[in-house]
Amino acid sequence: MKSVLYHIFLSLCLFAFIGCEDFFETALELDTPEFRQGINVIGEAFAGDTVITLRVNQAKSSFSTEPYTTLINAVIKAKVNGEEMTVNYVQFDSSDEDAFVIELVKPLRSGDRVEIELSHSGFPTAYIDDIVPPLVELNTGPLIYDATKDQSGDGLSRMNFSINYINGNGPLYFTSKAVYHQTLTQCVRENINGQFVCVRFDTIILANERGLTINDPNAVEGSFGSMVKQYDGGVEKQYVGTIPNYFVNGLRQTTSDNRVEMNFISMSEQTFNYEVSLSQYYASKDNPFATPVNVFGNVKNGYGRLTLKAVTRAIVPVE
Amino acid sequence: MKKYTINPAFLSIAVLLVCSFNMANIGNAQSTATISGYVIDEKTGEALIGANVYIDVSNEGTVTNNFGFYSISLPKGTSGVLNYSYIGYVSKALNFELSSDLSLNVGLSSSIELEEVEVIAEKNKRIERETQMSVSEIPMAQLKKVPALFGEVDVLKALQLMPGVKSGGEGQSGLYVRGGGPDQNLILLDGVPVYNASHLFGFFSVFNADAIKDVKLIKGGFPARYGGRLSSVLDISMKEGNLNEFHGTASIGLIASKLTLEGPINKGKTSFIVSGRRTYIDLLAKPLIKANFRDGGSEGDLGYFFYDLNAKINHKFSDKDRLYLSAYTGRDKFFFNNEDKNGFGDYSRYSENALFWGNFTSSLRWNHLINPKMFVNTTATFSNYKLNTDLEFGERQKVNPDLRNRFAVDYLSGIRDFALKIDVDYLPSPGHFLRFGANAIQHQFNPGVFNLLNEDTETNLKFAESFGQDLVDGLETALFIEDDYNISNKLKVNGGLHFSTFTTNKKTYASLQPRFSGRYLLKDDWSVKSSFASMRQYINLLAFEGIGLPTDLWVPATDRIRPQDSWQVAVGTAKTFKDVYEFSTEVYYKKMYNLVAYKDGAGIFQTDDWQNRVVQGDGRSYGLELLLQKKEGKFTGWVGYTLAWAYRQFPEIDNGIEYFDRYDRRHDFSIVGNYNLSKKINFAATWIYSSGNPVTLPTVLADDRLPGPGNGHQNTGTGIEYFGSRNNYRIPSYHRLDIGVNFVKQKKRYERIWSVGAYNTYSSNNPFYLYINNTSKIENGMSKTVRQLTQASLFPIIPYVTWTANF
Repeated sequence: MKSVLYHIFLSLCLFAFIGCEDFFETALELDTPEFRQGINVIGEAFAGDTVITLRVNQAKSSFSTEPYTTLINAVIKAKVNGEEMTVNYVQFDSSDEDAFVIELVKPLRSGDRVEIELSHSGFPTAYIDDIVPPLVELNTGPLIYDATKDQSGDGLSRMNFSINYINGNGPLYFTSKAVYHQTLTQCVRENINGQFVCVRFDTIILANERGLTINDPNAVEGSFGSMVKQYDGGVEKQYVGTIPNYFVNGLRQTTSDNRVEMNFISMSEQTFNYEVSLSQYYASKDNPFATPVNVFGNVKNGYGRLTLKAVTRAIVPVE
Repeated sequence: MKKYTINPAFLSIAVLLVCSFNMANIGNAQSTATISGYVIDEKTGEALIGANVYIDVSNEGTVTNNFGFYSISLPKGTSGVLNYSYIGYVSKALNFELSSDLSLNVGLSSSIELEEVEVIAEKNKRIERETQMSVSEIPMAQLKKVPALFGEVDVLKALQLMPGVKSGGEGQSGLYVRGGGPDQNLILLDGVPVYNASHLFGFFSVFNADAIKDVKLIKGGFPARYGGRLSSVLDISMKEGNLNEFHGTASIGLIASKLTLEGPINKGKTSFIVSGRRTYIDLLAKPLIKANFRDGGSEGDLGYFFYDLNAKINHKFSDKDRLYLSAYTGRDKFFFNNEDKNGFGDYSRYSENALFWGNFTSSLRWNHLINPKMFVNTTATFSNYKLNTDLEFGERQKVNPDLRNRFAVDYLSGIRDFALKIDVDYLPSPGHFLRFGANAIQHQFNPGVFNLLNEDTETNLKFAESFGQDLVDGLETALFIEDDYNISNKLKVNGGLHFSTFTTNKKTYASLQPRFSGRYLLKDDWSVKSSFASMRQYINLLAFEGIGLPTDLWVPATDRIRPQDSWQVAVGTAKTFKDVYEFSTEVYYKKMYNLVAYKDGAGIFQTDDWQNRVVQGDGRSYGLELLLQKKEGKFTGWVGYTLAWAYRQFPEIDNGIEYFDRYDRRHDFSIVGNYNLSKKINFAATWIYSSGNPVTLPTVLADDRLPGPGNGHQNTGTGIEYFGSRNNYRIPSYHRLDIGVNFVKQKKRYERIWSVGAYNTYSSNNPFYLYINNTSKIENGMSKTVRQLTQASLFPIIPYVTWTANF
């Protein structure tokens, strides 16, 4: 009897703890949530650009697996500072990609107001209205290699810089990144008689870019570096930016020119909101216990975004 | 000349105090005498909390307090019969003639041992006669028979079966009361707040049922003696230990074993109780895990366990003075260690990771009887909740492991309280039961500190740094007064004031909270009740919704984060049928202000100021609760139903539009039954049904590829998901049947109980969470990607068996 009880007990224990994975997941035939139909617009433009290129298609149910289809019959009206621009539908030769291109009469400048109206049968008319952000006055110091450490103890390179926000109408939104192109000589190996032998050298050029972490208490950390909202217009403000040593290592090892291009990218408020929410969106995605994040869009009555940016560049030495 | 002002709160309390004493002394104008004493379990000497004491002729009476004390003042010369009753015990009646103050300590016998004796219902403590409404009480004997997950009897999960109380999810022990959050429950163990009441990520509560004497959950109409949380008070009293004989309980279950010992140190004067519990999955699985690591060419260990230990000593100096010292400690530990012996050259790579958390609470209580009418309880308490995460990895020499290069991160957070409080029970006449007192709690919050260490013992290079947030102190004080006032035979009210302050970082908040509850007897066994309670909460729990994680962080109100406030009104009716069936129904409306939630995308393990990561908003909830309960007889149990709505509104979420709370569930239905077939066998079953709570699901998928060649193809499954409004979708409903049978046998030296049963008997696939799954499907011979809403369930049927010995 004791032996029987012992075996029953053991079986119950095993039964309780061994689960079949398939059992725990159930595909449900449930009504999918209702959604709002709308035109989806994606575009990015910088001060100095002569065209604004837009991808225009249809947002779909989150359960749909149909491909995105360009709304080629969309009617698009674009104005810059109230002046109407020409809009053309183009198909790119090199691929099956297409887009709408707004031909600008003159290059975009900081402070230009961009208004776009998009309409298509079956969808509500969508609108975009934003202003090209200001360029900044920038003073940079050198990028000092291995100047400090991060929270994990890894080495960081540091750069001091100051920004003077000239226009001073509302806050300045900016981010920054370091850019350099790395030329690498790579050995191409082939299997000759069972041995991999270097038969020739190919030259490849890699574009390296990495966002800076900026010492502002209100900075929002995105996947490409800190995004800062600076409130004071007309006041020069000091910042310290850091970047992992390994980014600079490549530059030091492969080029004799120890200089890096720093890009200071100012953004419109709408663009800043989009970039911040996009970072938060990816941070919480696929985590069933995290609060989901809605990505900010600046397309009224529709989906997507037109991000407007202005870039100030500076070449800085690496010490 | 210096100007003096009187704080209106203190003035209000003083006025109430004076009025109450004056009213109370009306009874004293006549020449009265007092009958007072303790009601105890005759066999163990344990005090019986809430026992009913009443005089049969006048129907006047009272109930014992948390220490079993009662007091009734009557005109001198009164004679009659004094009845003592308590649920599950045989009532007792004593004749008296009152010529002077009388001390009567009364012992009652458990009705379990005297099967055939008719048990008289507790007339004066019947539900329709009490002023307090919105209370859930489950007798411990009944609670222990409720079938449980893995057979682990759980106080909090049993309470989830009562109306107005919801669980956080499948298997979770968290409480969500009347639309409130998990941090809005004041959980007291012998008067000490317990900050994290969960083991195993919320699947079990920290309360070992073998060490608990009494459980009471108050969901609204809070008496003035309670404060500091918005939604509920869970008052748990530990056993005191048998004063007369040594006894013990040992049990072996599927995941844990328990041992409880109790007995007299000095018979009739001093007793102790010690109760411990530990899980042993880590020990059983150890050989398997080690073998698995070895197969992979490394050495390692992986495991999880929790334990808890309750201990209490009490000493009776005299009928006037008694001292209690109680303590609880519990800890959870999850660990993962690995060493790759192959490593490289003379070195092996290793990692050692551990996550452990736990509470320590202790209290020292002194009961003193100033006179037969005035009972004073003075309590000093300490509570400490700590979370610690240790991560270490590096390389060490195979020959001499002390020579190593390592990187270690240690994360610490927690809360620590020291508290002192004094409560006075004053029973000047049968018409009044006055309670007043004061307390002060010194909180110390640790909102998260990282310690880093990078060390190379071969080269003696060392880098150590600590960063994170500073410890924050907060002083919470409170004064209260309340009176349970019997205005007439039909009308009884409980009115009171609770005044509290909180000081942190030179910022002081103060709040005066009026409390009221009353009942009017329509008939002898039927009453209508109403209540109003204003509450304030100075501490907040930063928690992710859906699961009780040890990483949830306690933080104080600050100059930027305002304290949470609420008010709640409830009306209801209560009736007893045939002396054994209690029926109650209540409707309530609760409004909450300054609730705290994480901003979108914010999280734990961040070093920035936590205040930057939260937003504040409001909430409201309302509903209807029905409860039919039978507490005595061969068949006991209850049927509960809740119809409820709960909303949240935060300016920064959903553009400030009100949305359904994560735990808004329209219907909750539960049936709990326990049938004693004989002294040897009893059956128990529980069936619950809950309609689905809302979750946030994406509704729209939109392309986010910039235009132009090289930016991707017209792919199908990618893009940005838009969620529409918060909590825009309801998960399927939940239902489950649990059954259990207890086989009891009296052996020569002990009583043996086999408990067998099953959780989720018909293996209902209940929702744990939903997600969208990309899967491939063959259609017309072609593979096609399908996005499908998928439900993850947690527990199929989980049978259990537990062996218990009472000796």
